[in-house]
Amino acid sequence: MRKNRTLLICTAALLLLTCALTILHISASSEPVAGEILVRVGSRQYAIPYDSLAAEEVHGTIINGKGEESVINAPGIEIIALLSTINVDPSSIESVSVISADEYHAEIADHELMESEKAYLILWDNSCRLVVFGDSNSKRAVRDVVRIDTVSKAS
Amino acid sequence: MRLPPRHRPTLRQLIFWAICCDLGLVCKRLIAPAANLLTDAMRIPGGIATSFSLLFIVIGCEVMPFHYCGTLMGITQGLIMMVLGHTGSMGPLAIIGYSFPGFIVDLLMRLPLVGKLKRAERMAIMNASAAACAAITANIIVFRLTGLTLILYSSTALTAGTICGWASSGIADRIDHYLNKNR
Repeated sequence: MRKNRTLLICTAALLLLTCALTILHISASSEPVAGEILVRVGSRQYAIPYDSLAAEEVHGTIINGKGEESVINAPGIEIIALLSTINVDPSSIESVSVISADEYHAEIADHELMESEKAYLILWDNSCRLVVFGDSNSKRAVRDVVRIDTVSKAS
Repeated sequence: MRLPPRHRPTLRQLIFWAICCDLGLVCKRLIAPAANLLTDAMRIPGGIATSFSLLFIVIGCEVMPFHYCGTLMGITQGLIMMVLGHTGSMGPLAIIGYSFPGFIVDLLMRLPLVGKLKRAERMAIMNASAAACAAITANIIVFRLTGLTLILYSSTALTAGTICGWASSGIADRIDHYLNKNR
């Protein structure tokens, strides 16, 4: 790397910009608390501890993008049941976005929410994981779920 | 420094071209765990290791004499990863994710303004642009980030790309001497 003043200034400027954006991003996003899921419904948000979830044993098989099957055998709760615990009417929800700590997210549509034994949050290795049975790949297998955002149907 | 004219590649150059394709993929896998530590702390999806792998595409385009070098390298890398089954979340669309940044590098190489720049500046711009393009492609195909998170994700890719591109100019200077010494 030869000395190049222009590049040095540009790189330093980009680094400063990235640092500033990082600080803004981290301060703007809600700090995920270990052992809790944040559920946002409109302007309200609810912090639900894992311990308070009425988890039941979830059994099933999921398939990844390579066609390999994985057996699921862990405690969990259906997304629709989770929303019911905070008195949210599932029929008023258009879609649900399940978000992990690194902002990776997966969408679940209203008809999938209503479908029985379809979308679960399972407790796995001290964190929550989204499992959607029937998917042909693992794009919606969101690990380390920290937040669920709901989108309400237009009235 | 003006770019050398394009001509038919020699066997030595083609072998180096193939090595660059493989090195890019290997380095990405090696660097990814460390890079993901940084992106996890920033709370954005991983992927800045891609900037490091694009460094080899940029070196290849800088020292190789043939057109569409970047696009071909990207397609080759995409095909290798598809054959190995390491396409990640992109699935079959990984071929687009790998080839598009290479195409961007080729486009930039054709711009007269870019050709007139010093080697370090030219390679930094190419690597940064390719990294930003890779980040946006991954966002469209997989992550679908919005707002500040997307801006931060793109800014991180630009910064990593600029640093890698600058570093690659020193490597290109050394390689160019041995690879093209008979021309």
